[in-house]
Amino acid sequence: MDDVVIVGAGASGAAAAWKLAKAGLKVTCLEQGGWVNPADTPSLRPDWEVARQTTHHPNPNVRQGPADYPVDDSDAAIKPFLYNAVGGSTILWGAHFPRFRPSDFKVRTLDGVADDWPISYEDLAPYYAENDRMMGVSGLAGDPGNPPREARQMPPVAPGIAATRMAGAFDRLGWHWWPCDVAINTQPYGEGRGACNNCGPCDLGCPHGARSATDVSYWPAALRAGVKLITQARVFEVETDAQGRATGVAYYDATGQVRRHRAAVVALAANGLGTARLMLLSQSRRFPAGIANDTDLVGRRLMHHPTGMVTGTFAEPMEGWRGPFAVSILSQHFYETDPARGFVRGYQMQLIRSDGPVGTAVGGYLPRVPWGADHHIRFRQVFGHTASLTVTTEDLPRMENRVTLSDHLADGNGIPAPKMTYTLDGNTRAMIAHGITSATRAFTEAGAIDITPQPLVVNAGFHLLGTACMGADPAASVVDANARAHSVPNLVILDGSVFTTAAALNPTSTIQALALRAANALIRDRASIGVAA
Amino acid sequence: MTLAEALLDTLLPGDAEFPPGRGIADRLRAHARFGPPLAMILQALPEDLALLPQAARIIAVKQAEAAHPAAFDAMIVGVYSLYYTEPAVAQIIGRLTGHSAAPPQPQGHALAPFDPALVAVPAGRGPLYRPTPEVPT
Repeated sequence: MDDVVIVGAGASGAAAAWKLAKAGLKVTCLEQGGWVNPADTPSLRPDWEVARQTTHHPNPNVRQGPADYPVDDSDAAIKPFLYNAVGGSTILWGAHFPRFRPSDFKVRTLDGVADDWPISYEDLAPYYAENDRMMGVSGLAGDPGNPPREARQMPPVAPGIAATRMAGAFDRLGWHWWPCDVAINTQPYGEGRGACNNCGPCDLGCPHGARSATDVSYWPAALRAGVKLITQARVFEVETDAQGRATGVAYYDATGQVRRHRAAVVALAANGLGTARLMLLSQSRRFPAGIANDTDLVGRRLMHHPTGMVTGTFAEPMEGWRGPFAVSILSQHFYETDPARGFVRGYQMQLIRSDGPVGTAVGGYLPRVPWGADHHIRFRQVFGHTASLTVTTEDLPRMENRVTLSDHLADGNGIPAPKMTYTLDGNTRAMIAHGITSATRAFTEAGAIDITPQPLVVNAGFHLLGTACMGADPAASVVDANARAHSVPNLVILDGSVFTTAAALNPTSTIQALALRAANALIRDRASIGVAA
Repeated sequence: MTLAEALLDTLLPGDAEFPPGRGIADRLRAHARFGPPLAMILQALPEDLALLPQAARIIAVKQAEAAHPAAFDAMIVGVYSLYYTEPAVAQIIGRLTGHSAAPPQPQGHALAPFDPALVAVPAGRGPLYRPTPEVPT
């Protein structure tokens, strides 16, 4: 029997698997997808932008790949982003890698809303640093918007024409900005991983391994440390004994056969959607509403990062197709609560470069270029002449935003699909409105000739957080400060499900730091964890 | 001119530099993902679309768009995807903008070094993050 079985080989599963195996634990990881060969990236093909709209679309409902499960998003204001493979959603991500701020862990204390985390930034800082070393981070020390910390492994990515121009505008406005921390190599770093060649579509994968993903960062080291990785293994239940302690998992293998895998500890790392789905599916006499769901909190408090977007069009070429599409600079000037603004908490503005010809025409950063006689006039105006600022907001947890099991959708094995029910509240809408005004002001200052706001981008801000929340009070949370379920001591949640609050920043760095911290606690406490007989 | 070609020319009439959309008709029809929504929209159009005056063509296409919004949306994604990946169109865009008609990889673009002087102003602002009991500024 294994010491630990981990469900999911993505951002958090890979990090925890590596750390646990390095400490000598016997670890198996089950992943419903397979390996993605970085050399197979569509970026090497002329139809790379067609792949972005189809086989490599971030939304599994659009992509419909063989490893994907459908997501019922009929009642969701924001559409899902996830990928099922070794590496998980880091296979398709933009690699923005900020840390949360210290205040993000204390929103109840500071602002009287939601809940404080049971841990602080200081508790997580060593794990952020360990994770940075494994993933490889480019960035610049000295950001006045965040606490001092060690130097990044590599210098920042070059900002490009538009970000340089926007930085000047931020300076004249007296607003904070700083180069993004990114999990992209600006120099060779890691095992056989080369340097970024500024190609642009990081989301399609990187044949040089410059854009980090856990298949090229953690997994080689994890496998060397002895982790057994089983791909095309679709887990459908966490099994328990009569006392409700986890005994292992049941899954469909690649041939559709049901198999069981026993372990002393079960760790779920299937993202905020997949983990909640699996917990809700894992019903027993002890847990009739799903494992560790005594409080009816599993699946609830679903948080995203609702995102507005403002795009500026410049008379001069911005050449935004050069460089990592998602990352250059960001501003956290409006990040913290200011009662005069009429909302609590805040947002970041992140400069996005621009798109290729297909992306420009289909729309995303800008509305779709209309068909008809004026199509090419509009296309000429915008292609290569734009930059966008996201307005990425902090989403406060609400019980009615949740993941449940769909009553009509199922995956290829007949397992009920997850259903997302999600709406924005007034606080978030006020935040986005304020952010659109701020971003518009910045583009005006930068000399944009046309400025287009989008109040909510449904295919952005899709991070999946909060559905098995962390807290000190077993009556008001699902897992404790070490990410172990209050009611199932040998069940650990490693992914973004455990977020108490969401901050207004991309979460992967924090997800992985939490996973490393949870793994460290397991290693430390292994002798005292109550496992099944 | 086929019905599909007439539709594509209505969507993307072309101009002095860009060709009309009809050149992608066969690829679009044969595409596993984009072919079915095209077929649905074609069924919603008058068979003599090609013979109609331009204004009437536009009205007919708008009516199909209103009647089948999801299929029309999927078809437009296909039209733009295939049109803007046509080698001839990519060459035109390259000539007009400098955007390479080649795939992003393997050549990429030159990666300029980061100039630290760029952050002189924000670096001088001092701590801006909000203090907490554990992390005072």
